[in-house]
Parts: sequence; structure tokens; C-alpha cells
Amino acid sequence: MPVVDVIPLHETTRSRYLNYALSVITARALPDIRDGLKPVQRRILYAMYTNLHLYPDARFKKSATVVGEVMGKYHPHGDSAIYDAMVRMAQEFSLRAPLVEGHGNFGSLDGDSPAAMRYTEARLRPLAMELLSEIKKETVAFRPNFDGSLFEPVVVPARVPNLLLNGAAGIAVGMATNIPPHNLTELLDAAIYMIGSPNARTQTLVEKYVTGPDFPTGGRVLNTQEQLIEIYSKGEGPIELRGEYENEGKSRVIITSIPYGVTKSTLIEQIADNIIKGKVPQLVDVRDESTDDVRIVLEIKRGAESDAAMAFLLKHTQLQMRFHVNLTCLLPTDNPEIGAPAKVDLSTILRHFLDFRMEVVVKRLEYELAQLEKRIHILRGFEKIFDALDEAIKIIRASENKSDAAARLIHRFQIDDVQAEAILETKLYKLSRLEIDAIRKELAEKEAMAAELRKLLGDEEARWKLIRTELKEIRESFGEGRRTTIAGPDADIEYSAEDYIVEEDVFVIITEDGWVKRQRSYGDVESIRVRDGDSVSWILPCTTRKSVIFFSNFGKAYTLRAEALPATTGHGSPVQKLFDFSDREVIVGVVSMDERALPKPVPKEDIEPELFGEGEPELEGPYAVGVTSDGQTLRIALENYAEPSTVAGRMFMKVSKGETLLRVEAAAGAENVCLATKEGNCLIFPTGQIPIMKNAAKGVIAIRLNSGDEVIGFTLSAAARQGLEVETTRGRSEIVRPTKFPVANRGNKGRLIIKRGAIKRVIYPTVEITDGMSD
Amino acid sequence: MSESTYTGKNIQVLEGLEPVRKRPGMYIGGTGKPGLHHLLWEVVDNAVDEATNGYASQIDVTLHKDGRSITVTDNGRGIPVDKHPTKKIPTIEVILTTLHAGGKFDSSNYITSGGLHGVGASVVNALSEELVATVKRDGATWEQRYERGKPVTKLKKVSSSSRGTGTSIYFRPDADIFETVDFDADIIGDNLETKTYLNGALRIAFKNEATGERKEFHHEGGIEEFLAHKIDLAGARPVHPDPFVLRQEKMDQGARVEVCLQWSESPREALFSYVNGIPTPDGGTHEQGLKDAIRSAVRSYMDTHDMLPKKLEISADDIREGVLGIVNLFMVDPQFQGQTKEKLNNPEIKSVVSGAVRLELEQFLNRHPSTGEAIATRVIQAAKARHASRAAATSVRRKTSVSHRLNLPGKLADCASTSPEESELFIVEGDSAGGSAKQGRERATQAILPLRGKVLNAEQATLKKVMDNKELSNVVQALGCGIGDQIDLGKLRYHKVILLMDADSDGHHISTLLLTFLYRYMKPLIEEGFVFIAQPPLYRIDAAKQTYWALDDEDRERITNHIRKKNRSTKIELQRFKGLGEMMPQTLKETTLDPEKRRLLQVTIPDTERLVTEQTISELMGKDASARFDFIMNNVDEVDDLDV
Repeated sequence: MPVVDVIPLHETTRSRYLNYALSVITARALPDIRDGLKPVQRRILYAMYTNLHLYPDARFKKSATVVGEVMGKYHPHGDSAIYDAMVRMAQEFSLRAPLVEGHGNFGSLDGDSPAAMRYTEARLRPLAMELLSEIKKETVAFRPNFDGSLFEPVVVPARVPNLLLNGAAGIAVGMATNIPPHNLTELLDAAIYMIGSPNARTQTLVEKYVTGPDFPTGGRVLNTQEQLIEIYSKGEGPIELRGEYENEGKSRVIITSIPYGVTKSTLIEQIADNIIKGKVPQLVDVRDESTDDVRIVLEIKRGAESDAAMAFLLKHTQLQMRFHVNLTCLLPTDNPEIGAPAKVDLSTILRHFLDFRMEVVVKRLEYELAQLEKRIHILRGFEKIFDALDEAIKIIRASENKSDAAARLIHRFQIDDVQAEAILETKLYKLSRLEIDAIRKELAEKEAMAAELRKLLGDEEARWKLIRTELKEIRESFGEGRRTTIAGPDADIEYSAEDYIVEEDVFVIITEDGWVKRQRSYGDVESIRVRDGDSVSWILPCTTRKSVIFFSNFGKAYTLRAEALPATTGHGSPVQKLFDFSDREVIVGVVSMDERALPKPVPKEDIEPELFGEGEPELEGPYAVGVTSDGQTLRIALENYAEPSTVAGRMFMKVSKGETLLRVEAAAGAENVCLATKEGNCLIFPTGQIPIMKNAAKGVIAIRLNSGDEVIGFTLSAAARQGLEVETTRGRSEIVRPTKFPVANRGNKGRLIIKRGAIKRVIYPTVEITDGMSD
Repeated sequence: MSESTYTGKNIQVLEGLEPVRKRPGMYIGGTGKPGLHHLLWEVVDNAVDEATNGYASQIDVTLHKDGRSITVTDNGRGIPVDKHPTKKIPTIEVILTTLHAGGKFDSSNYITSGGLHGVGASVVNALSEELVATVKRDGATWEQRYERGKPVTKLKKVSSSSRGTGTSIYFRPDADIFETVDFDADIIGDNLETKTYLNGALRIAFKNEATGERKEFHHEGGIEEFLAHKIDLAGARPVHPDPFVLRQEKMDQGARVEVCLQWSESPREALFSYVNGIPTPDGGTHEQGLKDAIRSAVRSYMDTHDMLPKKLEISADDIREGVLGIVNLFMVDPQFQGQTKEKLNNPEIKSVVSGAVRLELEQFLNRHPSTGEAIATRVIQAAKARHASRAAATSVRRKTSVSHRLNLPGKLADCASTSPEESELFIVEGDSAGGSAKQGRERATQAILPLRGKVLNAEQATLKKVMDNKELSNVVQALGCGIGDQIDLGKLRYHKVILLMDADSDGHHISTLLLTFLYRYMKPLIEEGFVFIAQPPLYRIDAAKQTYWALDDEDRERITNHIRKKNRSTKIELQRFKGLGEMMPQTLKETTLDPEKRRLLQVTIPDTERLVTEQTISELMGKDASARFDFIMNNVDEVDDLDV
């Protein structure tokens, strides 16, 4: 009977996906709020405890035995998943309180993988017993295993708040969890406090007890208490975690702990990589001297600041990292076999732990009482017989067989089957006087104990007291001090990019076509390598730490440290590689912020006061002056553009559409502007007449232009003989300089210097400053 | 021509043109339509040379009413009419009757010239029934008539009070030589217009007396305008707004180039090359030089700006894909292959052109970052496409080899039948279940493809990632019908594609992942009803040493009742079944594979639920984790049996 049913794609996808998602959420990736275990962990611990009896004092057994037991009976998945889970529970750097004791290579902080499971051995640690020991007393619910042949616990009767103690990490579907480990003493203190104040708020708990995570690997938490309270209240948030280090003498820094989850060898590689690439000039070497502790030695360069080195490492390596807390876990529901996922706060976790503790204690007491009552019942049977011992013996002797004897005893002494059975199984020596006394004494004791248990079961207060006592006992045996320091936001070590640049003298070289580079030295201008047809326009001294400002014809300034320029005797890079230039944008001026390259400041009294058209300059020099093709000009203070910019640059002048900024030159403030127009008008006026602009502006009029005319170029003249060299269409050349033409005022029309033709072009000499640099 | 000047030397001249009439193909490439028009180009090029060198600004071309004769007039200097110092006849006659005679070997008269072999005018003359040359020069007008290359009149002064200067050539090609003597006005018009594009200052008027049409060609924009026109004609979409234009002003190493380039989305490259205004459709060294320059400039630019992709090799063809360009070279002494001048042969030109263009082009790219990026992107796209098509071509080649089955994934246990209608493909979770399925199948019609682990989520991956995924590409290969837009159900090798997964949560997950993949990349398969989900049994029932398999709860009830009926006290052991690997091959066959006994779910997309299907897939499998979270939290109650 071939059957084909039809199912719409979206329905089957929906139901199948939902099934998968919920299976992963409830039975794979998330821990239970009560015992803090994921199913695979619980199954491992349960199998080790119940099936293999791998108690802390037992002999170790091969890990493969454990894995086989777990896989065959409870966890029908891959063996490596099970082994990995067990290994993690044994690693002292993964769990704050490891539950499994491993023998053999269980991996290391350096990320070495553990030995194969056929080599390693394992057994439970004492603390694991606190999770498991009450399981025999019918304290928790069980469910059938995958094939229905066995039962497994839904949750184990944890006596410690394991979820917070050891934390958890897991990615489910649509949700994930990431719970940091905590300090057991703090957790138990908080729980004990909550017994007295059941409605304690998370804030109180964080302020008084659980001050923050306590990672097995130590480290420093940099969050403030307010931040931590918020994280624990919302159930999520970032924790800033930093490794610890100390200075050893002047030449060494020792890293003594690394952040949780960071692989030590990776961290060292990162540090070494940065040293090799010269990014932390303060460091010369890194060495791993760790044995069972962490000891990473950083060798400091003689005379260098260790703080600067550490600031770099904290910013650029995993020595400092972020732990994203996400307190998602499974909460019990009406169906004891299934939990529901929720993101919870700290107090909810502890509340659930305590409520679970109470539930387990009640069940334990009930179980113990039942056991006692069973024994008391039998003892009572004995008591009746002992009063008429001889008669009882007679009856037994006269009986046909055991069941006949039992029936007769029951009839004669008003006892039941269980009591009769116990009597008949009694060894003869038990009938001696001393033994009879002992049984009577036992009965009295047991009855007293039973009365005690009944009282406890009827008195919640007393049970809470019991729980408290037990928690205190655990604290005494297992509690320990913090490893992670809750340091708060310490004075952050100042991070300054300049510290990591080795200062050296360089020449910054820019060509006509806009190719830039830096060279330590050069012979003469002709010997500098440029591309065919290109020529050098600027050669400026600078140092790797100082800034170079590139001015473009679009009115933008781009700044970088000379260090960022390609150091090469080759062609260098086109400026477009360094910055986001627009189409047709080109360099029209370059200034090195090295004092050797800047014009010498001029004392204010040396500048003729009347030349300041707009009054005293507000901003200190040196300045830069720019002139556009439509005769606009402005002055800026270079200091405002000296900090490295983004690749998008900074706008310093608004150039009208269709116009272009012709050139930008550095100025002390006492120079003269010499400019020329296409039609042959030229004008010389003092730089001091140009206002200094703080923000990008259109500027002011430099020269009044005839309609159709345009400015063709300008230069600054610091000496009377210096000027602007122009070439006319008739092939003549002329120098516009103060010795030839009078200095006039800004905004004038200028003076016509040629009779016929026009000015074809302006000849700018290569700007070559070598001041103070010898080679 | 008078008898007295008819000397032995003249006879040599006449013999000189005789080979032209005997083997016209050697000079003008043939006697068909192109050859016929070639006569006109020779005459026009002479006029254009005058213009290119700055002596003429206007050329008039008139196609006469008969459609067989043409007059070309320029306002240049006029061909010299004085007596030639060695030939002792008028220079114009020397030019028109002597092969290798002309003013163009001496660069003092002409700097650059198209008709440089010097055969031009005389060849036209030799192949024309009639040719009339009229020259205006020094205030007079001169005229001389020729027939088949021989002067039939002397050079006569027809007017002595003329204004201006210039040359006018009337000619009618010889019907004995040419297969056709009818000129094509369209070809002439196009060609003349091209000449005005290449020489922005030039004006050419073309008059067709037959139709009375007159066209004036003048393109000030020159090659830039020409390229825009070409791009328009080709319907190509440029990838950057402004073309690269290089106009050298001065001669450098005996040459000067004008280049205009623009990259487009067109899959081809189209370079139009010219030497001194003459088209060189077969290219030559100047075009080679341009190609070299494009390659090295773009590569150097991309290298400088770290734009070269790491694992992608970029060839010169990739760089030039989609490029449209004009190169017009001006040079003194061009060497062509053949008189038709279709290929430039000067070896030194290659490096001259490439040297001139490379630096300028690279600088242009640097100066125009947005253009540079657009071109780099275009180049990378071309390289990727080429790699992809090469890979596709290789796989196509492999498919056509001995048997197309050799091409199937190694893991596929194919069926014997080649008929898609009866063939079934089981996609099975895991190698362990695959083993059972292989042993339990019907080998004639059932094929098994085991997958390992979880397949890729196709909703969150790019096509490339999907294709790189081994498991999914195995599925695609096994199905044989292609993927995405290229899907061809005619090539589908199986008409039942059956997903066979464990009945646990991971099995559910894998089936949703596979359905997502099929939905996104092979939707027609689902729409045509070719996709099924197998239903392996859920329960195993052991009773009285017998094992039964129940497909669902209902089935289970029926079986247990049946057993109880036979014997009330039979102990029944019930087990929830987990994985396919648990089953013996025989059992798998009986419960799940056997077409007679199995139960299949056919996956469909009902027309009314297309939207909700799309939503479900994108919500559940997409990148938005919060949508997934909401979905899960809202539907927790729907799930009845969870797998723990």
C-alpha cells in the first residue's frame, strides 16, 4: 500500500525546525538553574557516581570507560563531545571549582589538547559529591533514558549553587548563554543571607556579597559596582577583564595572570608580533617562563616607559578583553522533565537554588524518616518476641517450614509479614541478653530520631536552619578566597599613539603628480627617484612623530604623521592611496609641522600694526595662506590642522564651484603675497591683511578681478628680492617681487605688468628646505 | 601631352602604371566594392592630409548623378603646377602618372600623411576611365584630363583670375577593372564623418546629386565625441562618467598620439585605431602599444592601491574587457602591410605609444579615484567571470567524456536505471545510515547519497559558499539539473528526491536545512512535486520474539491490539526508535524504502501560501536571530515530542 501524503513546505519546515530548536534549547546547550549543569555534564557526573562509583577516594578509571558508559546508557551522541565535556570539568583554568579530577594530560592554558581518552584517567572530586550524594535518597525526579531501559536524573540535588560557581557557555537556537564563574564563599554567604531575607534584591547581593565574577584564571575586573549591579540585574552586559602584571625592577614587567578564556600561547604570539613589527618600541622581548603558574616576562627597553608599553598591549592584544555576560538558563516548569529558557538576574538564580535546596531537603528527610520507620517497625516486632522468647522458639521448632513458622508467629504475636520475616532471619546469637538490650536501645534511639525528623518536616523554619548549617559546613570545607580582583575603573593608563613611533629624522618628498614618500636622506633633488615625466615639488624635513599637512585644490587639509608615509627610495605612493581624494583633487600645498620646516615666527612688534586690517591676530602662527582662482584668500593657523585627520580630511576653505584653490603656503605672518592674473595684473600685499579663519570659510577678496580674468598663481615673499616667476604667452618671463612693484593693499585691482598677450603660467620652484638637517 | 616631350622617360612612366591596371588587387586590395571605394579614400586622404597639416579647412565631396563619378575638392595649397625639375613635365602630371611620386616623403612639406606610399593619386588615375584634376593656385585655375592613367589633354590654364587656392579631383572608375562601379553613399558618408571625428578642426561636406542630399560633417569634440558616438552605437553602459583622454600636442620620437578610453559593462573590448586618420581595422603596433599601456597602467594602479585580489589571477584580457577606445596616431613614416593600410607595421611605435599612454593613464586613475575604483571593480568582475566560466567549461568538458556518470559524486550509489521517471534519489543523513540504505535499496531504481553532518544554511550563505560546500555540491551534481537560474528540469536525473533523516532533532534540523537549500536554489523541483520526505518508523515493538515497527502512534495501537488479540499475556516491549543506523538493512527496506510499503510525504508550496512559505524560511533560517527567538517563544506549545 504505497502511501503519499502531501505536506506544505512551510508547515513541515516550521514543525521540524521548532522541534530542533527546542531540543537544543532544553536538552543540549543551556544549563539548569538548579544544578547549573547541561545534560551531557549531568550524565557524565551521574554515570561516574552511580554506575562507576568513581568517588574521590576510589581508584582512577580510564576516561574511555566513563565516556563509554555515558554514551551507551544516557547520551546517544558522539564520543568526542562527551570526552570534551568531561575534560572541561577537570580543567582548573576552565572551572572555578572543577568537578572531575583528571589524571594525565588534560590540556593546558596554552591551548594544548588533552591526551586521547584511552590514556587519561578520571574520578570525581570531593566537591562533585556535594552535587550528587543526596541522589540516593530519592530527592530528585528521574526520567527514562533514550531507549527506555534505564532512568536518569532530571536534575542532580546540588548543595552548592553550581550555575554561578562554575558558570556556563553555550549557543542554542535563537538564544545563547554566557555565565561567568563566581567565588563559592561569596555565593554561600549570599545564599545564607537570602535565607534570612528571602526578598533580597540583586543590588544588595552585589553590594554585600557577590561582588563580581571570580575567574579561575584571576585577572582584574574593571567595571564599577554600578555597572556590575546593572549587569547582574538585567542578566546581561559586558565585563571588562584585564590580565594582571607587575614591574620587576626597571627593565621587566611580569604578566601574572591572563583573562579568562584567553589562550596563553596566542597572547604571547600577539605580543611578539607587535614587538617584531616595531609597534611597541618600548619592548625588546617577550618570554614565557610559566610552569604551573602564569609568568610572562616582558623585557623593557632601557629608559623606556613600561606604562606606555602596557597601554599598547592592553589596547591591541587579548591582555584585556570583554566578557559578555548573558545569564540565560533553564527554569523548572510544571512538567518536571522539561525546563523553560529565561534570562534571569542574580537574585532569581539564588532564589531558585534555595527553593530547590528546600525541596531536596524535604524529600531527603522524608526518605530518611521512611527508612527509620521501616527499621522501627521491625524493631517493634523483635520487642514483642523478646517478651516471650521461649514461646516463640517453641513455635518455630514445632513448625513444618518457614512459612508455617511465620504464619504461627503472626497469629500468636499480632505481628505482620515483614516483622515475622525479620525474626525468622535473625541469627541465634542475637538472642543473647546483651544483643537483646542493644536492640531495645536502638529502638529508643530510632524513635527519638524519627520524632526529630517529623518535627523538622513540620517546621519550615527549622529546615531553613538546617539548610543554613549545611551551607556553612560546605563553606568551611570548600570555600576559598577570590582569585579575580574587582578593581573598578583604575586610572586608565594614558594611551597615546605617538608613544609607539620611533622618532627619527626624515625628508618628506612630494612630486608634481602627487606621489609621496619619506626618505632618511637624499643626495640632491635630481637624484630623487620619481616616475617618468614627474618631478619633485616639495622636500621638507620632518620627524616620524610629527605631522605633515597636505592641502588640496578643493580646500581640504589632510594630516598624517610622517611615520605613516611610505619609507622608500622608490616612487612612493600616490596621495590618493593615503587619503580619500575626490576626482580631480590634487595637492596644492604641503607643510611639515617640524619647526625646522616652518617659517620662523616673527615678533609681533616687527609686523607693521596698520597691516592688520582686521586687528590683532587671534591665533598664533605659523599660518598657511591660500588663494583661489577667483581671487579669494584666507589664512589659517596650522596648529588647528596639525593633529592627524581621517582619510576624509578636514575642510578649511570653501572653494566656489568651478574655481580651484591654486596654492597653499606656510607663513609666519610678515611675508608679502605676490600674485598674478591671467591678463597680466599683479598685486603685492602683506600677509597680515588676510584674516585668520577658524572654520572653513569662503575667505576674503585678495584681488579685484576684471570679469573673465582669473588668478593664475601666487607665492609668499619673505625677502624683498623674492617673488613670483611668471611666463607670458610671448615667451618672456618676469618676477613679481616687492623690489620691482610697490606693496599695495589687499582687494586692489593690481597693476598690469605686460603690454601684450597674457600670462601663460606661473613657475614654482621646488620647495626644498634642508634647514638644520645634515647628511 | 605634346609629341616633342614624348620621350623614353615618359614611356617608363606609362609602364610604371601598367602593373596597377594588370594587378589592381596589389594596390587597392581588390576590385570589389571595397576596392572601388578605396579609390575615393585615396583622394580624400590627400585632401585630409592638407587639412591635418593645417593648409586646408574645408573639403567637399560630391557624388554625381550617375552614382559612378565623384569630385573631391579642398581649399588647400593646390597641387604644384610648375615644371618638375627632373621630369620636365608639370608636377601635377608627375604626381598623377608616376608610382612612388609625391610630396610626402619629405617631411618639410607634410609632417604626417595618410597617402604616404605615394601611389595614391596615380593609382586612382590608372584605374579611372576619366580623371580631371583642377588646381587653383597663385590666382589662376589649371585643369588637366586623363583617361586610364594617361593624360589626354595638356595642363591648361582655364582662368587667370581665380580666388583662393585648392585642388579638385573628378574621377570615374573604370568599369573594365571593377566588378561594380556604383558608389555607396552610406559608406562614403560614414567614412567621411569618421575623418571629421579624428580631426576636430576639419569640415567635410558630402553632396549626393542623385538624391540632392547634402551633409556637413564637423565634430569639434574630436575623438572624445567619436568615442561617445561609438559607445552610443554599441549600446554599451559605461562604468565611469568621464573617459580618459590623451592628446599629445607635440611630436615625440617621430609620433604623436590621441587616445580616448572608457570602460563599459559590455563583455567585449572594442578598440578603433587609426594612423594619420586612416583606419587600421587590423590594428598593428600602435594598437599593441595601447593594449600594453592599458594592462600595465591598470595593473600598476590596482597594485599601488592594494586592489588586486589575493587568490584571483588577473589577465590582460580581464583588464581590457568592456573597454571602448580610439587611438589615432600621427607619425611621419608609417609602414603598413599592403596598400590597403589595414595594419601598422612600425615596430618602434609599440613602445612609443605604450610609453606615452601608460603614465598618463595611471596618473588619470590616481587623479580620479572614483573612476579608478569603478574600473578596478569592472576588472575584478571580469576576472571572476572568466574563472567561473573556465570552471564551468571544464566541467562541461568532463561531462561529455566517456560517461557522464563518471562526473557524479563519489559517494553516490547510483541506480541502474537511467530513466528519471522511475529513478529515486535518497538523500540520507550520515554514512552509518547510508550503509544500511545502500544494502536495503532496490538497485535498479533507487540511488543513495549519504551526507555528512549538518549541511550549510543556504539562507545565510552566498551562492559561492553554497557551491563550495562539498555536501550541497554533491547534491547538485547528483541531481544533474543545474542550479538557480540555470536549472533545467529536463536534465533532472531523478523524479523522486527523497530526504531520509533520523527521527531525532538533528535529523529534523538537517531536513529543514536541505529544504531551505532546495527552496532557495532549486525551487522548481519542489513546485513540480519532485521532493519527498521519507518517514522511517517511530516505534519498535518486540513481542513474542517478533519485532514490529510502527510508523506513528496510531500504527502502534493497531499492532499492540493485534498482538494482544492473539495472546493476552504476551509481554510487549515498546521502544521509541532513534536512528536509522539502528535498523537492519532488511528492516529499513520493508519499512521505509520499499515503494509498496513505505509512506512518503510530498513537499509542496500551495499557491495560496507562497508568501507565508517565503516568510517562514526567511524568519527561521535567516540572519535575524531575534526573529527566530520570537518565533520559538511564541510557538513553544506546538511541540509535542521532544528529544532529550
